[in-house]
Amino acid sequence: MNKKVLFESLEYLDDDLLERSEMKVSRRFSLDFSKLAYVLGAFVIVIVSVNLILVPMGRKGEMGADYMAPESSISKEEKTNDNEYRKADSYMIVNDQNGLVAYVTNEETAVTSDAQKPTVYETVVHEGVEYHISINCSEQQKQQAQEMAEMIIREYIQGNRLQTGITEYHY
Amino acid sequence: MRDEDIVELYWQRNEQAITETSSKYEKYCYTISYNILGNVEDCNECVNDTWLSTWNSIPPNRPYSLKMYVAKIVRNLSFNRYESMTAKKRNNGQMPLVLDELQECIASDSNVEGEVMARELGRSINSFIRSLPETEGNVFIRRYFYGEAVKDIARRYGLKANNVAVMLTRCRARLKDYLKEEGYM
Repeated sequence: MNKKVLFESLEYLDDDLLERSEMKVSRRFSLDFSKLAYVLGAFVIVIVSVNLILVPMGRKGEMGADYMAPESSISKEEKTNDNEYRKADSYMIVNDQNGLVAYVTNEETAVTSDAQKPTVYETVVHEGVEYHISINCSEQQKQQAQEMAEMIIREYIQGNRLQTGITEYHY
Repeated sequence: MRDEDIVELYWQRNEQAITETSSKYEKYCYTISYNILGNVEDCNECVNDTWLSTWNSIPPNRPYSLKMYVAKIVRNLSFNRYESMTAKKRNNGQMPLVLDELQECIASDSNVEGEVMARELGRSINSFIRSLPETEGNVFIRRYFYGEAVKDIARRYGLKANNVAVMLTRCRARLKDYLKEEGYM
C-alpha cells in the first residue's frame, strides 16, 4: 500500500460522514450560546418552581398560611398608610399682621431653619403625633415668634384645625 | 432547486441538470479542487470535467447526496491531474503535505495496491472515523478528504491551528495502529 492508495481510499467514505464534516462551528458563539442556555434554564426553573410549588401552596395548603402571611401583613401596612402620610404632613402658617411665617411638620427632618436668622423652635405631641414648629425671625421679633408658636399649638394643633396635606393658613 | 430534483433531471437526460448542478456546486467543487491543485487554470478544467463525469454517471447512479457525489468526482479528477502535474513538477496545493502526512500511517514495504485495495481500505477507514470523537473525525475528513489547510480547518471548527495539528497527529497514530490490527500492514 502506498500513500496515494490511502488518499484514494478516502473516496469511499460514507456520504453522511462527509456531510457531517461540512458543518461550521464557531467556538465563541457556541460557548456563549451554552452559557446563555444555562442562564435561561436556571431562570425557567426558578419561575416554574415559584409558580408550581410556592403559589399553589399559598392558595391551598395549610403551609400556605405561612407563605400568605407576608402578603396580609403588607395589606395591613397599606391600611395604616393613611396615618403614615398624615405624619409626614407639613403646614405653613402665616401671620399677616407682622409677616412671620411658621412651618409646622410631623417630620423632624423637615424642620426648616435659617442660619442667618434666629429660629424659634417648639415641639409638641398631640394625640400621639409629634409636631415640630419652626419660625425664622429677627432678634426684635423673637418674642412675637414665641407667642405665635404657642398660639399655633393651642389654636391649630390642640384645636385640631390642621387639615391633611401641605396647607397654608393665614390669620 | 433540491438535489433530488436535479438528479431527476439527469435521469430524464435533461441538460438543465448540468446548469443547475453548476450554479449550486461550482464554488464548492472549485474549493476542493483548489485545495489539491493550488492552480486556478487546472481547477477550472477539473470542475468542468466534473459536470461531464456527473452527466455520464447519472444514470445509472442515483446518488443519495448530489453534493457529496460531485465532491468525490472533483476530488478524484483533481487528484489524477495532481499526479500528472507532479510528473511535470508544478503544484502549489496542499497535496504534497497531505500525502506526506498519510505516509506516516502506512508501511513502506507493502506492495498491495489498486482500486480493490482502495475500496476495502475505504470501508475500514469509515469504521475508523466512526470510532473517533465527532470533532476529530471531522477534522480528519477535512484534512485528508478535502485537503483543507490546517488553519482553514481550525477556523471552520472554532479551534486553534495548533490544536488541529495535534489532533491530526494523534489521528494518524491511531489510524496506523488500526490499519495494523486490520491486517493492512
